[in-house]
Amino acid sequence: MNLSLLPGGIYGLLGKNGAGKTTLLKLICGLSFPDEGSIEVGDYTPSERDVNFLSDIFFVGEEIYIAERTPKEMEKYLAPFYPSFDSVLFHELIKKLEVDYDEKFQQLSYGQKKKAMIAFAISCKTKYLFMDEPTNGLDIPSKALFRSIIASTYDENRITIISTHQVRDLQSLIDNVIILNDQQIQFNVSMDQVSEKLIFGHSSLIPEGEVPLYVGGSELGKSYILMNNNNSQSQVDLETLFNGFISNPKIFNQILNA
Amino acid sequence: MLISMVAIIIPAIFLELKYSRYNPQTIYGFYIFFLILFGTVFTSLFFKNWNHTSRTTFLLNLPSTALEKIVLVQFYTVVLYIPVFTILFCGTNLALYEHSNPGMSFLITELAGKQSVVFAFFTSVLVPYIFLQSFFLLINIWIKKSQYVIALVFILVILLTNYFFMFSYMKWLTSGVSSVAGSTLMLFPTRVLFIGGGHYQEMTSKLIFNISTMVCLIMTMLFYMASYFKLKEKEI
Repeated sequence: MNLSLLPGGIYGLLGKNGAGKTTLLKLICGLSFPDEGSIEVGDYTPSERDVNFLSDIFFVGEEIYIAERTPKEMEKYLAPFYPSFDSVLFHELIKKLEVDYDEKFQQLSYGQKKKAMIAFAISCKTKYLFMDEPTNGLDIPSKALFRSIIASTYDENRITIISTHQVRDLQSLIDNVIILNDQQIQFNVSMDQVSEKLIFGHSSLIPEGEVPLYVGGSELGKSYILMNNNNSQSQVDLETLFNGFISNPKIFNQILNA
Repeated sequence: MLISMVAIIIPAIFLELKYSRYNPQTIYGFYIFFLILFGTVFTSLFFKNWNHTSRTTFLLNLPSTALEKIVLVQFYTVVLYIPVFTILFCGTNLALYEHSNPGMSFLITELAGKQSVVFAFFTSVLVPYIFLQSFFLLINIWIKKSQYVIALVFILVILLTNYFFMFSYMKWLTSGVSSVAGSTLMLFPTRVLFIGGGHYQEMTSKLIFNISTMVCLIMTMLFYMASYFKLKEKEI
């Protein structure tokens, strides 16, 4: 498995259940060690768990654990571990996400706790930010807010990887897509490359004379992917791209890596 | 934590009062037993339940070294815990015994004897405590769940082995030993009571005490080192 990521990228890590998304994130964070091969994140080897490395990464897992009682305590006790922590940003984000700074986590719902953790993670301003299913448990307005916050706090020095099953939550947010299949990285391309080479459409009728690379959806509405031969513009439909890739990885890799 | 400790220690002191009959050696027995019991439980709280992925993730990803994490646990469970427990224990004793038998007397009269209080505290309180505490620390870091029970089983095996070792040693030194008193179950006996020749006899053995103290100190160091490496290599 080879994977090189560049600073400034927001990577969407997609894959079916059991594809190895969470395992990959754990390996990158140093929570698990590779049986063979090596992983390097910047100048660090994650499995060594160097303190400087740990203060440069933040991992928001699918299930979250907060030892502190309130967001206020969280800031007081955890923020000193992260040298670039931005207190103003933290206050701004939790206000935006409608989490009370002084309210006890015990009294908050899972979604509220997750929002507090996401706000804290972004405020740490670490070089590497990894999120595993961050939108699980968030209500619909919060999902939109999450996308807006990730976009508005964009940092050109940060690498962000967001792993999710809910590909629609990453729509118009990520600029690179990584697809894991059978515990292998089978696809790692930028969204620009995808929109340059593929056209996405939603219709019950496929344009005449076109041979779709993939057709999905139900009788009520089909989604399809065509080759972009005319430099047309269409919005990338991540769900269709993912389904198309899973159905025929070889052809999509050939087209996108050509 | 302090409140829970007070809540547990005070009933323990009352229990001790009921059965100790103001005997300094029994008071020491209660003191060391509860010190180790609460101390090992307290230690176990820091690394409990490794199966809880989010808690483990938080613990392992916290930007500090494995050594700093262990030192922090040691600070709470040894440096802070022993004085707090001792003050509470002795303070309660002092209050309950009033002036007739001050709380600290058991340490001075029973443990120190002709030695200094500091030496007595080191050999009879600190060494047994850190030996067992380091063992619990290692088991808690190494094993994923039910660590306390597993550690207790190990301790029981060690104590029984110690008993049979003492029994064989006494039999070798004397003749006709039919039974060794249960006090030899302790890891640091200064004297051994046994039935020989139809009546109770007593043997004081500095050698056994010194050897077991040295062995326990070396084992403690090894347990701490093993805990460090196990935590460093811990994976989810």
